[in-house]
Amino acid sequence: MCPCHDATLFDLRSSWEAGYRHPETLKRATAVFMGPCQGKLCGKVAGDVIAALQGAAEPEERRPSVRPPLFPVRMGDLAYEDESKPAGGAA
Amino acid sequence: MTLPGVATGRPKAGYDVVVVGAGVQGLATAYELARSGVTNVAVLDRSWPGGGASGRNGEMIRSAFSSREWAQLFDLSLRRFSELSAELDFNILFSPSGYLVLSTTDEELRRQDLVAAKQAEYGVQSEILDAAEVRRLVPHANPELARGGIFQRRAGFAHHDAVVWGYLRAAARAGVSVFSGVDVHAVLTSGGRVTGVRTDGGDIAADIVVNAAGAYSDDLNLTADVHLPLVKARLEMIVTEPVKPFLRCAVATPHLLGYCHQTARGEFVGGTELPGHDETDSLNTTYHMLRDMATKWVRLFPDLGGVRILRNWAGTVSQAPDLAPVLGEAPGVSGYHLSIAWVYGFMGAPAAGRLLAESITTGRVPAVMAPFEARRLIEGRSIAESTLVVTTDGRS
Ligand SMILES: Cc1cc2nc3c(=O)[nH]c(=O)nc-3n(C[C@H](O)[C@H](O)[C@H](O)COP(=O)(O)OP(=O)(O)OC[C@H]3O[C@@H](n4cnc5c(N)ncnc54)[C@H](O)[C@@H]3O)c2cc1C
Repeated sequence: MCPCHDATLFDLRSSWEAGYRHPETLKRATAVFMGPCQGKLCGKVAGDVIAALQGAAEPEERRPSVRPPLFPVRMGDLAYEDESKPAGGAA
Repeated sequence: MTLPGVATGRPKAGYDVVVVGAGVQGLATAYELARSGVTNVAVLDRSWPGGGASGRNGEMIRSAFSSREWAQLFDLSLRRFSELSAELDFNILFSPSGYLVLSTTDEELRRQDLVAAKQAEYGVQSEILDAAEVRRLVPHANPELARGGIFQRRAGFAHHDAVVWGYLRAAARAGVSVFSGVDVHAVLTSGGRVTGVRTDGGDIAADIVVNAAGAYSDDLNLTADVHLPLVKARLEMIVTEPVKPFLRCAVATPHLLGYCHQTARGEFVGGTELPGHDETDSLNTTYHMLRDMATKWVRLFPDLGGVRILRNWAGTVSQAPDLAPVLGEAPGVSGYHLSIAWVYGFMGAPAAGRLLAESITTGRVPAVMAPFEARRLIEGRSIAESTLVVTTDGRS
């Protein structure tokens, strides 16, 4: 299901059975949607599994938000070059 | 049902206690009420339990604060955290791997002896670290920023979702009904007493109503004509790809306005802030905070420069001018209790839930809780705490 976090179809189904019956709570229980792929690999399949568990063609709720960045980005590439730029702190 | 423990069906027409908000505060309070024998309790949430700040925070836990009020409240919490997994029969992944508040500036270095001395006076154990000791504890930290610090060895972090789920399941087992998808529109009062709540599914009667509505607690207060100087504020965090363990303890840096730790899975998780507060209830993240976090964390831990950020998210809280929580009965409305204005409300929940439940069931306000009463804000008194990683808005 989720190559990033090693979540299997079994994990999804058993978490659902245990009561995590919402895309947002299933995400938190199994870590689907939360890997480096940002749900690009698991999102569609997880949606299909949720729909099937709900006995519907489409999941009843929307999938969890896609969080930025869309692709993993090295911290050094996002850091301001001029260290004094960000408005410091309590100092 | 959205989570194990959430009730199926609709709420009854009345309960002894209605708690608004199934975040960690509302659930801890409901659990403690049930433990002391009050089980006809409903917790109502318009979303899924933990969908507010309780599932979006930095997971950090300490009691080494500079003020007596904060130190005593949070020390009760810290003690509760160490027994919580066993008590709730749910592993909350509490890691007592230490909590370091870094000293960076000359002023912070000068002050750390004084702060630690006060902590000793309050019965909170902490250690003063010099530059060499900090270097040994966090060898990857930039020595220019890590010049000293106060270290609390038995503090640390726990998994936020697990704490919510643990309280939820234990409260449900004890007889509490937790409802997901019930929106509370108003607190109902009559002649200075609370009488229940109005929801999207009709009115529910209750002699006791607890406001644990997080960022929206002020909106709820206004429906009961309770006016407190609270604001909503957004906080943002990032998580990286998992890396080899390099950071054992939780670290807060007041100088950079940042807090961080590394999870058992290896992810680096951290949040930063800018001076002032970001007054919004939007859960969207911002590019300037993403860059602020990247900049500050690479400054503090230069090795993180090559580590990739996977996700950036936001959560919202309500804040009082002194950044301390508001705990206890609302002024002017008897039976209406508040557990709101939480900025450190994850670490504070085990104590707050217990104390608030005690004050509701006995009618007496425990001494540790008393300073946090709402009246202080109306009378303009504030609790002065100097080791927070948040700034006030500059007006106070
Ligand atoms: C990014 C970030 C980092 C943080 N880091 C830390 C940290 O490291 N340590 C720490 O201790 N604290 C931290 N905090 C603060 C902490 O998360 C909060 O103080 C705490 O979670 C508050 O819990 P709560 O139960 O009061 O509120 P919430 O968890 O926000 O719960 C409130 C609930 O009420 C519901 N609700 C609101 N209004 C209504 C209504 N009208 N009807 C029905 N339901 C309603 C919401 O849906 C929500 O589920 C952080 C917060 C953020 C955002």
